[in-house]
Amino acid sequence: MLITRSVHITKGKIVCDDKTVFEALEPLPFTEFIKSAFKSLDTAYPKFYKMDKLSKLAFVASEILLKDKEIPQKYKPETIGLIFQNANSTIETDIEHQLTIADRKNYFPGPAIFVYTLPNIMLGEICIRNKFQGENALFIFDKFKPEQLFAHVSLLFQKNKIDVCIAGWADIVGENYESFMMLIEPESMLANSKDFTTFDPSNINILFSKK
Amino acid sequence: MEENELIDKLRKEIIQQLNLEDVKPEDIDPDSALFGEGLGLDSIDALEIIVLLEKNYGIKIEDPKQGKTIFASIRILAKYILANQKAQ
Amino acid sequence: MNEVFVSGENAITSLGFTVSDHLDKIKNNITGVKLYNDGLLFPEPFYASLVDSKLLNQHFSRIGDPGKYTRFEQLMILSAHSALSGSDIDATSPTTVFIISSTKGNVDLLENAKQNQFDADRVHLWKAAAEIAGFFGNKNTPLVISNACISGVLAINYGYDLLSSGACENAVVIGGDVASEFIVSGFQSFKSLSFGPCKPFDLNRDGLNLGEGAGTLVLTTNPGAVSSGKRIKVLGGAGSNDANHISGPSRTGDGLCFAVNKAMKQAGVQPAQIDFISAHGTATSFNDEMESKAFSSAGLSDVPLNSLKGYFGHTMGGAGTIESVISIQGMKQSLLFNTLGFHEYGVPEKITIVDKLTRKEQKCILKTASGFGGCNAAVIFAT
Repeated sequence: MLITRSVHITKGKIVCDDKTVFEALEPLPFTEFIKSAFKSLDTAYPKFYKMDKLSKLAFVASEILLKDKEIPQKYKPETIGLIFQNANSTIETDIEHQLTIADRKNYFPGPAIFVYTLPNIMLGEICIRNKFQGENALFIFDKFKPEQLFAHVSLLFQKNKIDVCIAGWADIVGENYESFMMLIEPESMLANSKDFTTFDPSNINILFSKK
Repeated sequence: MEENELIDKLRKEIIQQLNLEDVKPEDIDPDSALFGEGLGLDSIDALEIIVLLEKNYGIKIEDPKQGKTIFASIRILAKYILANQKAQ
Repeated sequence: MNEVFVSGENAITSLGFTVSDHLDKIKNNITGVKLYNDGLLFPEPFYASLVDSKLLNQHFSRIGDPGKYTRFEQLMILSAHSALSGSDIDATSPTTVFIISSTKGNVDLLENAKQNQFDADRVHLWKAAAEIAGFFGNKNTPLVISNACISGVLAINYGYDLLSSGACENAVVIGGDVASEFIVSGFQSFKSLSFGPCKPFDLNRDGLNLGEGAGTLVLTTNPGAVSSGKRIKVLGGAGSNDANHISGPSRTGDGLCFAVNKAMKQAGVQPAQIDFISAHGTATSFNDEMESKAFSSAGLSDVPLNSLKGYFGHTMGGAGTIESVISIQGMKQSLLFNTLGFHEYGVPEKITIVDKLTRKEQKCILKTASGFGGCNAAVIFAT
């Protein structure tokens, strides 16, 4: 298996493979930063504005990861897997929903916030956008665990559950946000396989540490 | 409140409540289908409008299926609010 | 590839704290769903299946200090403790992993009144999971899956994959959730709660009942750790996404159908070999409709199917494990349990709904779940 692209978003900067593809000119709060990053992609997708912070973060990373890779053309929808990890689940949105019910005199819980209190919704958003219908899983650890991610994704390939995988990390709490995403494809599907990095824990670590 | 005044208020409230980025109040035709192609609204948006009605106008809709008729257009929604506020 | 056996099970819901508590009531069509009118979890009356807090405290006191663990952790620990006591595996062994599935874990700690009861990071699932696995002296990092209402089935699938590939020998798979105000208010805002006890697959179904609880399956590759009686194996499973809508199920059932077909392929079985389906059957209009389409597309129209939601509601992150545990008992006792709440056929495609307690030998059964985010999962058990 090869990592055919990786994307890293943190601290106002988006790096794709070795290139900085977007950087805020001045320090921006996350919501402003991610909105301007999304606008820079020049994509018409109004649903983006309805997403919570975590889904916006993962969505922008996935758009950059998948651009021109023609994944839906190369692979069947039900063979495209998404395996993510995260530490803080949807804590930002959980607090937002909790505020809507904190006061019984001003009690207005709403579905548009509540639905985003599930961390796998970000996988659903990426699936809807790209018509991906394969395996989904969201794991929660205190920090990014490249070994577990590697082991799990490898197992899914080994068991023929997936033909291609989008795997990584997306997490936000307050102004600390980070997403790291890899596209993992089998050599047999690539004409220029020498150009890509082998999918293994040490390479994941090397890519993850590039920011 | 007059119907037209309420229509203007509702257009702004809906844009805000439903996070309709890049949509201006005047882009929402008060007589066009609210859940047609134009705004791309879905079932969650319909439920959010139910929350908006309760929060801003004190109107409770228990059965979401009622939304289909009440939310047909902004004008129909405005008429519904006026009629039901008077009733209360 | 190693064979994977179920060597211990437990379920805790409003029906009781042991598997036999559940079977006694399910066989007699007794539900734990009732009307809550006390304003504690929601300002208005609602139907739900809740675990009695006093009883929970009493039961937990026998094995640990209730003051040290949250309500969620107590349910998870009690369930795992009961499942492990019926099994021969060593929970402290480095070759045993804990797989923990939940949608929201300790989210109720965000409530003002509860904020100072525990450390701030206890609200995180990785921390709650460490407390749960730590209770049993297990030193491996617990593997936490939080994938909406398919979490439990995914956790079983993951346990199977780890064990069958030889990555470890035993897995304690625990799934659960508590019905906090956070969750009740959210489902209410979706208008998905029923006005009475839920009616899965029924013409007059009008929504789900929330439930709470925990279910545990102890999985092992060691056949010696399985007690006598009918030996149940996990044959494999799979997951999918509808890629349709974040809260509404697919209108065609294609996502669930993918998961079911892939699970059968993983397990190496044909539709004709499936003797029973434990469906998700939440009793919302769209979910049950979708399931009928998916099972019929998968060639499973004639396979007896039930939903257990009428007994203990929708236990969210616990549904996959709790309902698997109950359905495994059905296999062991050659019984199909009634779909409580179902009276009049109300789904568009043909499925065969179990409408009374029925005797039937089952060699191979299918368990499915679907959830927000468009996710679906399926797992197959066999004797």
